[in-house]
Amino acid sequence: MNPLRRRPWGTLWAKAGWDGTKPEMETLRIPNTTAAPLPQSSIARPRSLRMGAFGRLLVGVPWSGAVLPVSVASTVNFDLTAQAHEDSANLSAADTLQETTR
Amino acid sequence: MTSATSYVRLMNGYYSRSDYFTADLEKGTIRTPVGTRICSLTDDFLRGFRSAVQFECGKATDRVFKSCGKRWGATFVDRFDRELTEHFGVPLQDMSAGIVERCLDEAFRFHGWGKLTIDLKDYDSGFITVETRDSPMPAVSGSSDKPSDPLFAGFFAAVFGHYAKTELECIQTECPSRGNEASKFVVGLADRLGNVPAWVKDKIPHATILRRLTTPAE
Repeated sequence: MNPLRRRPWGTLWAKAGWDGTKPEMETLRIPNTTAAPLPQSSIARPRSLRMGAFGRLLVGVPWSGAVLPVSVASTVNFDLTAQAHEDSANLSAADTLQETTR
Repeated sequence: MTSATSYVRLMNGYYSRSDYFTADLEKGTIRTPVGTRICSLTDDFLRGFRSAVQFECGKATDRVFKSCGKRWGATFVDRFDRELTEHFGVPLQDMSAGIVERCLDEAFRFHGWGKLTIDLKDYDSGFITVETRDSPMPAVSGSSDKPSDPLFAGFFAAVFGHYAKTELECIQTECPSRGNEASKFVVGLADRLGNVPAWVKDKIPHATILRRLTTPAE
């Protein structure tokens, strides 16, 4: 995706170089998230682990009705893990942006 | 920005909601969730309407359509802002450009105005390319020597001028009625697009026009 599309909509249109002068440099230096290293500390594992524990807890429940909640918990666990990775990618992009504009 | 985009990511598209068009059979009306009345027009009606305007306005037809497009765009952008801000709970200006562009494209498709693409390749030089496919006006106008969608040229000038907070001009450079695949428009400041109508008249391709606009004069 063009990095310009990550900008706020209002900023995108207000900061274009309509009169032919290039937009300010700091507003253009939005990093490419694929090039930026993903800091390990920002990966939100604790949240997915908590959901994992919740799933295991349900497995231990002796009645048969526990089967459905387990599958639901697993699904939620998967979604949250994916979400956490996406959030961490955004965070790293924002961090790198701050560094480059500093 | 991060919190706004995170929130928006969890929402469904505004135009894909099942109750976007609500029909009242007794009154014979169709309305959007915020009460805007929708008018459904056939191709035959549009063809007749276009012919009637051409008959009444003659050479001024394109100017009339463009002026209508500007007024329509100004009311549309007001409604678009209000509806999406209410739906997502985030001011539209703060939402990421990719999401708003997707919503704008959805608005086009759901209202039957075609498929919209915004090209930001020449953003730094102050020009934006807008492309529409399957747009209603070229579809009903038949083959023509000149671009046949001044209505949407006016529309885009008003919509993007609203967000740029300055008066912008929009000129159609390619059109299916002249044998092109899609309609292409260039958006920029009026005084920088001064030569474009002459180039369009000479059937200069869109890419060449943009190259001429973005290359400094020697």
